[in-house]
Amino acid sequence: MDAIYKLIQHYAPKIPDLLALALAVLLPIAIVMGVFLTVFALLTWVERKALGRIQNRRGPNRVGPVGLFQPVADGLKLLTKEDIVPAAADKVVHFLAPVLTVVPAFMVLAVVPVAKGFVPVDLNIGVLFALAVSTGSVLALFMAGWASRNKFSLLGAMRSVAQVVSYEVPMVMAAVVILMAAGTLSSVGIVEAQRGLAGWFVFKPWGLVAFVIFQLCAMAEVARTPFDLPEAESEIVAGYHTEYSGFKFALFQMGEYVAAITMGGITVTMFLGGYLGPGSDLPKIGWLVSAGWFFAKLGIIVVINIWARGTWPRVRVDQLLGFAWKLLLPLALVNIVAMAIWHFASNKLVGWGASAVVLAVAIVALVKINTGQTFEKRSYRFIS
Amino acid sequence: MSVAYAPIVRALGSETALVLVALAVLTLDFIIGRKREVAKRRELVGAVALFGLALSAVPLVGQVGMTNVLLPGETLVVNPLVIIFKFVLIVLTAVTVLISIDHDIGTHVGEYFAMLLFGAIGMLLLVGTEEFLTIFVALELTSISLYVLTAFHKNSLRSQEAALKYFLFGAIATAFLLFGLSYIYGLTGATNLRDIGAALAKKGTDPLLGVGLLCVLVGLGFKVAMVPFHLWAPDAYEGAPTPVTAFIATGSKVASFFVLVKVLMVAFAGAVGSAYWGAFESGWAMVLGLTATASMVLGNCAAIVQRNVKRLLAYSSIAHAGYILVGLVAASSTGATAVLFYVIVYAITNLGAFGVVAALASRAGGDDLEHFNGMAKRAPFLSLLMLVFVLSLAGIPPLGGFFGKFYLFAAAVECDAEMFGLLWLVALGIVMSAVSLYYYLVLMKHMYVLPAKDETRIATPGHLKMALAFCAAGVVLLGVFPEPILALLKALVVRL
Amino acid sequence: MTIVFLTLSAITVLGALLAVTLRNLVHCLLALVLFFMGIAGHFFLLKADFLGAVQILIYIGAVAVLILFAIMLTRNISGTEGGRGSLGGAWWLGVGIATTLAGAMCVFVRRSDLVSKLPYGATEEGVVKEIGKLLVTDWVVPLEIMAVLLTAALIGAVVIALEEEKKR
Repeated sequence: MDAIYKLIQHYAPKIPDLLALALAVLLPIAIVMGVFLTVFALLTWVERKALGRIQNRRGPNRVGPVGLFQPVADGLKLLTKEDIVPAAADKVVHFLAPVLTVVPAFMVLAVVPVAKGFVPVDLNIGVLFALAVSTGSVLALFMAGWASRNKFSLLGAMRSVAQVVSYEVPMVMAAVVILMAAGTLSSVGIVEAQRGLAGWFVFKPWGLVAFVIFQLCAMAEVARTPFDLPEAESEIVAGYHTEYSGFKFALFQMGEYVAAITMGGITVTMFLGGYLGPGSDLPKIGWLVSAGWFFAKLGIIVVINIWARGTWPRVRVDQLLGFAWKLLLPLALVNIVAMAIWHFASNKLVGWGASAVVLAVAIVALVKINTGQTFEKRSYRFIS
Repeated sequence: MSVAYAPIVRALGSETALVLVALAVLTLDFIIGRKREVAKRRELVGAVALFGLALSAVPLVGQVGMTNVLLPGETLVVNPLVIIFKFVLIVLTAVTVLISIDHDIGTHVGEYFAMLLFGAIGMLLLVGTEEFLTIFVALELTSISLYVLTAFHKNSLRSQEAALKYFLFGAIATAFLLFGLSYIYGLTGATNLRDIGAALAKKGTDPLLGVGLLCVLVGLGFKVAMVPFHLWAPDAYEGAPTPVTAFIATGSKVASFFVLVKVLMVAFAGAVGSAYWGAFESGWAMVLGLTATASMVLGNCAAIVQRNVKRLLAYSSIAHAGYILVGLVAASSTGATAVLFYVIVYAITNLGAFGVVAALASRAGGDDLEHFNGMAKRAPFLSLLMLVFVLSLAGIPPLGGFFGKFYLFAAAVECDAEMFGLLWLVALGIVMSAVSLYYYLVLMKHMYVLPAKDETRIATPGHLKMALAFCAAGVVLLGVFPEPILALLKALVVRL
Repeated sequence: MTIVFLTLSAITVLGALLAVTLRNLVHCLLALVLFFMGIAGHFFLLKADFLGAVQILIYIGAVAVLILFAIMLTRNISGTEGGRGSLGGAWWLGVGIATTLAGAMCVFVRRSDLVSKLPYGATEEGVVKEIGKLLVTDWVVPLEIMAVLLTAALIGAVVIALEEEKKR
């Protein structure tokens, strides 16, 4: 922000101060919004293409070259569709919900460093801010489900609340390890702490475990398959957005995808070295190279997400919650201990070995404890 | 950066032991308790809890030599007074455990004893600190454990209602306490009682200090069940399982009064004000003078019309809170000594009384006055003990209650020899004691005079009798030989 | 700055008032969230970023969601049942007391001299690190008590919520 302000002052000293200040504030926001909205549009296309390939079909291929303009067509279609509000719905909340879904997703973007020296706001509590704000989306989902006055919507909302609350805990616990390693909450600081050969946190035993936990939780948090119970179409129609149509529906889709992207961005920042990579420190073009690295890594995460969606079946509710509380959470706690061992180990090799062994034992034990429990066979009675 | 943790560990010896025992109790009940009868589980787990309590008293011995040590971070304090009160609390908890072993507390045996121990830990910490943040957290630990314990009669709606009321009142009182603390911190920039005292001495009075102090008094007043913050007490006492009632009425009161004395005498010594007749000055003494009056009058008068023994004892305990506050209003070291002495006597007496109620009520079919008809024939030993406890509560010499009350009133009279400013409070206290005699004697009439419908003997297990006899012996001893402990307390309070 | 402060305060007060006066329970909750947001905004305004983020994380992420859970566990999930609003017939009494108290507090706060500069231990390392260090040095005892407290609360909550097993 300050840099832009100085640039403006330098190259266009005639511009009034207030305007320069406003520009300095608004420009990064505009850039970020623009870039990520483009990425969002592209992502829907990539997702449909990739899913199509996984399911042995072509995916969108009519609008534009290889169906590239499909998102535009979709957007136009949704914009012009009739907006239906159920008669019994709570009008105000029903209207607010889709708007509020998008807000937290975009707010998280404020602290994601997309390139070297480019982060909209370098808060010194960046990661905490991201984690805090992203919880806000659950309220929007609940509002949507609740305001619709539809049983399926409400069920979807309740599922999403239970899910987000459950996965929030191991997610934060996994992030703790990274904060311990970096010694800061600033997202830029975390990226800078991952410099050096194999410096990315994902290359450490605790980092790998935290990465896997965080990635799974992020997928659950934004309700992506296989954790998409809030909108499981085979069970509860479309979950919380059953009663939404037209552009409000589009907003929900947008909120979900942008949240997925920003979560991916946070993951990249915390585990995959963010914008770091060969050439990211070059004098003139460093920012471009680093942005390239960031988006390349983000792409990998996104593809993993799509891949998971295409290949894994949806989990059951009890499996979903049990997985978070009985496996991920204890593992995340053990991971913190492993990090402590690493931190206090006399030399790096010992730290490597010891923390790896601790984690391996923990994983084996937890898996062992958690498998093998079978549920009583349920019998259903149908009352005519 | 580096901190010497060793003294902290040493000062927290008892608490650490109790935490470990509480967790051990849970695990033990989970592993080997599940398959056994509930009564057997109670015995097993209760024995472990007792053992743990005995174990937790050991570190106290090691701390005896330490005098007024402020530990790193100044959150903990160790001095002989603290050690004495920690010991008293451990004993009270142990007796509660003994009473509980014989009482129906549902099927969650391990959890019950664990919560009891958690509550005890909170009380120990409450006693062992002179710092507001720690006081607050410890108070919460105690309160939350007690809320849960109150709800332990899971099949009784009354128990659930009691727990909810207790919880709601408690939560609001906590909010007040915290709000007051925030202002006091804002005024003084300190959370340590001594620092606050020093800062206030420099600063003089301030209108916001009044707000903060009042809020703190609300918060702590709720814990000691003084009027007008007593509304939870009768319901909670009646609805809770009787051993829990005993614990609330004794352990939590001892700890809360100890904190109240420390907070008022150390931190707010400069804002004492006056409750002298015709010379009221705003300050905590005036506020407490008024609440003491209200507590004594309301507690005693309301107790007269009660038909339920636990409710009766609840109102009597409100009245006793009033008597104790009289000693505090005196705002002298004699007063503080009398308060601390009376709190101990009162706790032992009340614990015994509730213990007898717990032992008899479940076998007599209920805890209304009628159920106690002819108890002297059905359970002569316990009835005798009850007589001792009740007479002590009424303040009949030579029992502990008499001397406790005597010192309280003496301290109030003595604090200003010329004006006898607090004489009105003392006179009221004496009148109200006479009133209280009435309902205590009604209880005795039911037990000793009225005939029972069913004259079968009530058998009680030996350990219970022993525990209650121990309480009775304590009451008698404190009445006959009050001097040594009183002298000890006096010597220690001066150094407070 | 003043404009931002006034706007935030207006939002906060509005949220608080709505939370008390609205009839529908879920609407009350949403108003409460608005109030929490306002408070968080105040923290950010006062440059207490950490507290602001924690406010959002705890109060919106946890407390509000917890209340949501509680509402969802009741039968009255649509929040439309229950006749009159939360303010009963004696609302004027409540308003009167609240106004008097608030007025008195205003006067008191204006007249007293609060410690203008509280010990603010922020160093170059940042507030978060400082808080972390203080928690494990000076305030280690309250921290540990919190741990015990949370354990006790957890056990208690489970016991209260658990259905009674059949007596053996």
